[in-house]
Amino acid sequence: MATPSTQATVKLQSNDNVVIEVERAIAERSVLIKNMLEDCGEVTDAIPISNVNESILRKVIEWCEHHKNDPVAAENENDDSRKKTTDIDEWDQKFMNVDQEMLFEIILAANFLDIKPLLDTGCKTVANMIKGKSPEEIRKLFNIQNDFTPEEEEQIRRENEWAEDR
Amino acid sequence: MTPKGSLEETIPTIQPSSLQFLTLPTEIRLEVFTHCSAFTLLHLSHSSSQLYYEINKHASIINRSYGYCHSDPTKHRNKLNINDIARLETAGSSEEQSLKEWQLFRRLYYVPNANGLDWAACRFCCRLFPAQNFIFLGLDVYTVIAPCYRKLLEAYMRWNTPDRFAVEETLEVVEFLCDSCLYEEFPGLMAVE
Repeated sequence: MATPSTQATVKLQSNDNVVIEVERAIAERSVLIKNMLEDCGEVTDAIPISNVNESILRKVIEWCEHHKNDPVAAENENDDSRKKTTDIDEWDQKFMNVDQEMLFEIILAANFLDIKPLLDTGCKTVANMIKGKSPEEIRKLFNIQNDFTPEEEEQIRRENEWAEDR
Repeated sequence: MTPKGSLEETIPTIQPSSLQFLTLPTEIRLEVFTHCSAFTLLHLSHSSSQLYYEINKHASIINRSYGYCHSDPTKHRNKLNINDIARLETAGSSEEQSLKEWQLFRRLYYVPNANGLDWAACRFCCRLFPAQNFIFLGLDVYTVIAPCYRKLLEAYMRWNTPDRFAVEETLEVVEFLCDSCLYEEFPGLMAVE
């Protein structure tokens, strides 16, 4: 294993070749980058973040800066409890108030960079967007075609008849 | 770097098809599903055949979703359906958020007809419960009542309540309350039962 590095900042390179210098502690909110730095020790070159463009990378860094002092949850800690609520704190709600495509890009970046709390916040945001919407409204929200055949629609209608003895 | 005024700069690059919910990797959609209640999953599953099969294929996600209660545990689980929903989700950072599912239930399932309404959702705890009776108050038809509402009205007759409608307004009782929430809100009702 490499000697632990004391470098204060690291450079991240987006897939459109923009290099952004950030505090190491902020970059290490990403488990992918954290592991990479632990394995490599001192890294002077920019770390290529191949799946993420500049605007999304800056957005992710903004989130990491705001949450840099959050306690890091142990792996699988309270896995059930995090599923029970779709409450999102106010700052995160504003942060996620972006167009749908950017929201999905942030989620994909969080998944790629292995930033579980950001992934959770993004997925909760999408879940909240769906909540309280009828199938037709969900189709409109996500630009989905109703591709059920009349037979399938009839089957769904039958499945959803109220049972007297439920 | 692209020189200013060059062809590459003036002609916008053709973007690949924009990212959409259905084109996200399946693992991401599954992650979203884990944050949805059973009631939300039900309607999501009815929006397209891909989502219908994707959601119903993952029984573990359905089983762990908020408000899910298998309608008949002795039988093999069918596709997620309205009879599997025991209660609606009330979580939310605001009243508007917390009432989203309840309001959807009212919009989609609150359709009184000659046979009455089959099921109602408690305004407070969002539990689903059978609503079988009609009630007539003067000329107004309170289309459907839940058993707890009927009990409340029976109680009015004996309870020392000078202004029934004022209490109704306070309680928003026309929005339905299940028995347990009703008693919690008006403990006095227990005494008159």
